[in-house]
Parts: sequence; C-alpha cells; structure tokens
Amino acid sequence: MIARYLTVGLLTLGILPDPSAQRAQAHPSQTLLAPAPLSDEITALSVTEYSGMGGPPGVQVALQGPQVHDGARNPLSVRTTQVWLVRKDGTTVGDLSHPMETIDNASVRDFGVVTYGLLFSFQPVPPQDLAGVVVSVNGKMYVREIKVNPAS
Amino acid sequence: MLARHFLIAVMTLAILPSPQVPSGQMHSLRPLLNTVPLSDEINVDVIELFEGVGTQPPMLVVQLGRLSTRSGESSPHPQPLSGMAIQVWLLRADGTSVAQRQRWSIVAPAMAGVMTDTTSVFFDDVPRQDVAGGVVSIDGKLYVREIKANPAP
Repeated sequence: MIARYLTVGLLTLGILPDPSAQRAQAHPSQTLLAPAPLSDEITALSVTEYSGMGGPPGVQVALQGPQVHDGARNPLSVRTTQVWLVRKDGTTVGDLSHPMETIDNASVRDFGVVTYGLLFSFQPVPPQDLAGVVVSVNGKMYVREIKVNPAS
Repeated sequence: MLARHFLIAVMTLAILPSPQVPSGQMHSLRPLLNTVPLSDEINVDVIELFEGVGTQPPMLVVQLGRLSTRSGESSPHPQPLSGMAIQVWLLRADGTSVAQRQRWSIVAPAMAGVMTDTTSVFFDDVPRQDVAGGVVSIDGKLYVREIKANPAP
C-alpha cells in the first residue's frame, strides 16, 4: 500500500507543471483549435475557450516548443513571440494578461527532456466571432483559421 | 505599379471629399508592402498616404488587386472582389490592430485595355515601425504577410 502511495506521489510530482504555469490553469470549455504543429519552433498551437477558475473567462492560446534537455533555456521567448486573435469584424481581441512561460517536465525523469511553451490569455469572445489566430515568432508570421460550429 | 498607386490616390480623393483639398491634388504615397502575391491571382499592397490631404490625417491603405480582363472580354473570375467575403486586419507589434475606416471596391481600366479589380481598405495612420503585418481573409481563407519596419526614406 505504501509503495502504491509512493508511486502515485512520484507520478503526481512528475506531471505537475511548475507554479507559474499552474496559475494559468483553468477549466477548458471548448477547443477552438486543436493542437497542431505550426513550425519547427512551434510544435503545437492550440486555442481553447475556458471558463476560468474563480476568475474571468477567456480564451487561451498555447504554444509548445520542441523538447529540450533539462536545464536548457526556453527556446520560445515572450520578447520575440506575439499572438493576435482576429475577429471577423476586422478587429482583434484584447489580452487579459501578459504571456506566461510554461514548462511540461513530465518526461524529465525518464528521458531528461522538458517541453517549454508560452501561454497567451485573451478576453472572452463569442467563439463564432473569431476568424483566426496569428502568431509571430522571431519576425515570421503564421495564421490559422478558427472554425467553430455554431451549434457547439 | 504607378497606375495602381494613382488609382489609390484618386479613390482616396473620391471618398474623402474636403473643401480644403483642391480638386485633383495628389497624395504622397509610401509603400510598406509592394505588390506581394497573396494567392495565385490576388496581390496585396500596403501603402501609407500622407501629405497633400488637406485637413485629412494621413492613413494606411491595404489594396487587394488582380488583373481582371481586357475590356470587352468576359471575366475569367466568377465574381469581382467586391462580391467576395473579404476582411483585412493590420496588426500592430504590441498585439493590437489598427482601426479600420472604410473600404472601396472598383473595377477600372488600367493599361493596354486591361481591367483591374481592386478592393481598398483604409486604416488609421500609425507609425510604420508599429505595423507588424497584414492579414487578409478571402471567402474564409486567411493569408498573412509580414511588414518590415523599413526606416522612412
């Protein structure tokens, strides 16, 4: 029994993100753009509407970088990365807070690698008003359409 | 190229009438994007209009254009740009966007009898180093082009 608790405890420690990333956790309510590769630098881009956790609802854009060895620097920088959520009416959605760095260290114990990322939080917007998401990384721009089923 | 820019100036005069602007006065133009292909058939220009606009403030113009057809011929395109669902965003480096003013679509003769199909979207003016890129949606398909902050000549 003790061994089982110990195993569960170690697993939990392994999958918990660092405290700064934990603050950004929320209850996702709808996936607006499923995780998909964007470039060599962005191995996954996802857009999620969330209900907040005692805070205001909003939309989160998560960027995931490539796996790097534990101890290496985050290859993604908030200084060289920018994200826009564009609305169909020609405007953009305002941000809720400064972008945050995230770290997924689930594989650090077994493989010695971590996955850094960036998390951008935006004000709540009806998903059907969104046209797409634009990402600029080191001056290079990418765009992905957001298509939401009105019934969803 | 000059014909397209001239067309923008004429269109600007048409949509921004001002008693202080003498008829036919030419705007000064400064390109931020110069006829960059957006798709197989549509190009995009981003131009700063300034000076010579009377009391009107300077502005940025995103112009979508394609060669339509020679006058008298039937168009190879099923519908003009004005009949397509078009939206344009000018993105600022700080994560916001530039406010839109209005838009204008026209099919007009250019050179050698060729007709040009043009849609222009006018935006507030902002320092060009603040403009990071332009995004265009055409019938739901999105295109993005970077705008480098070249120093003003």
